[in-house]
Amino acid sequence: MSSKENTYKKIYQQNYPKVIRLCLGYTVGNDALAKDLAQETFIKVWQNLDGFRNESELSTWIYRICVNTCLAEIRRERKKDKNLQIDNLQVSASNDFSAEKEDMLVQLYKCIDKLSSINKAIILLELEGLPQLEISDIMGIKHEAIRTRIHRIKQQLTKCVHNE
Amino acid sequence: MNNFEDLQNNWQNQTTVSATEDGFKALLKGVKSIEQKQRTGNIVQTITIIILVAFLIYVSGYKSETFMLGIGLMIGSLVVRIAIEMYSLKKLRSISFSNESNTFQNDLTSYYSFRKYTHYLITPLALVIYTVGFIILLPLFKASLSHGFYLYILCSSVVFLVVFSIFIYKQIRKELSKLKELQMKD
Repeated sequence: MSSKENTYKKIYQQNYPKVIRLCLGYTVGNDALAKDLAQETFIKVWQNLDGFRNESELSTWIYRICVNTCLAEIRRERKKDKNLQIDNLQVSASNDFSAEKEDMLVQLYKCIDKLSSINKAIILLELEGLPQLEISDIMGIKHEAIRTRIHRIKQQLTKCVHNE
Repeated sequence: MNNFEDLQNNWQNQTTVSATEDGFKALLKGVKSIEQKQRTGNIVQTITIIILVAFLIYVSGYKSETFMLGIGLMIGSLVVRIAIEMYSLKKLRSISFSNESNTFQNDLTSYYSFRKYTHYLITPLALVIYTVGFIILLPLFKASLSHGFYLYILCSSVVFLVVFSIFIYKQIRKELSKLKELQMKD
């Protein structure tokens, strides 16, 4: 394996779980489509790896590619199929995850899907626990504006999850 | 009532797929296959151009003006459509996926807005010109081909046109819905 391939493998292993989770959020839990998007993300990482100049953290750079890959996606299924996907959503395999929590997570996916593309990306990054400064760097929106926006989406989302 | 921190906690505790050795092997295979496909694509494109030029040289020997007009309209509309598709692809590939998402979204919106003009103007025009070219050729086909073969050409062309139009319509619908999604207000 070449040195580029070795570096690439490390990048893939370290970043795959967060990339796939973000893609799942974007595809309303559609596992097959999320895997395709994650694959596309890593293909673009490979294609652009030589151009990565350490101007930002590697994970920030990968998140950017992942968000943009999801933004550019045009194979979304029709609404009818999408709803079926949510109903079949396998949200957790852990035993201590109660049915109530699973319901909440399904509702969360549905509520995220109601947001605009950019707001969806912002809140998915926030749910991942990324610092707001990093989210601002990924999205190219000023820190102050991101903070206000996140506050507004959080309220919107919490309200939506509880059907208020 | 649960607050956002509870939602975040649930989000982070959901099961996700982790990276596997097989997954990486498949990915690397995918990367290599794309590079190979790009090389093959270039070869196919070159061969197509050579065949097209050879065909044009061959048919230029025909003295029939009707034939030249019909075939010219058909090939011309195809060439224009292909050229625009290639230009679009080049434009799409020039959008960097490692840009900040806000910039990327603006670039993508401008790309799909450009495509909207192609879909509403160039594509229908190309289809009409192609069909006109074909209709011009029909009397020549009828005069020089057997009745069975003439019927075959007529039917298969109609089927081709319908299938091709459905394919283009579906693609247009997808792209326009993407543009609408990108322009959705927050």
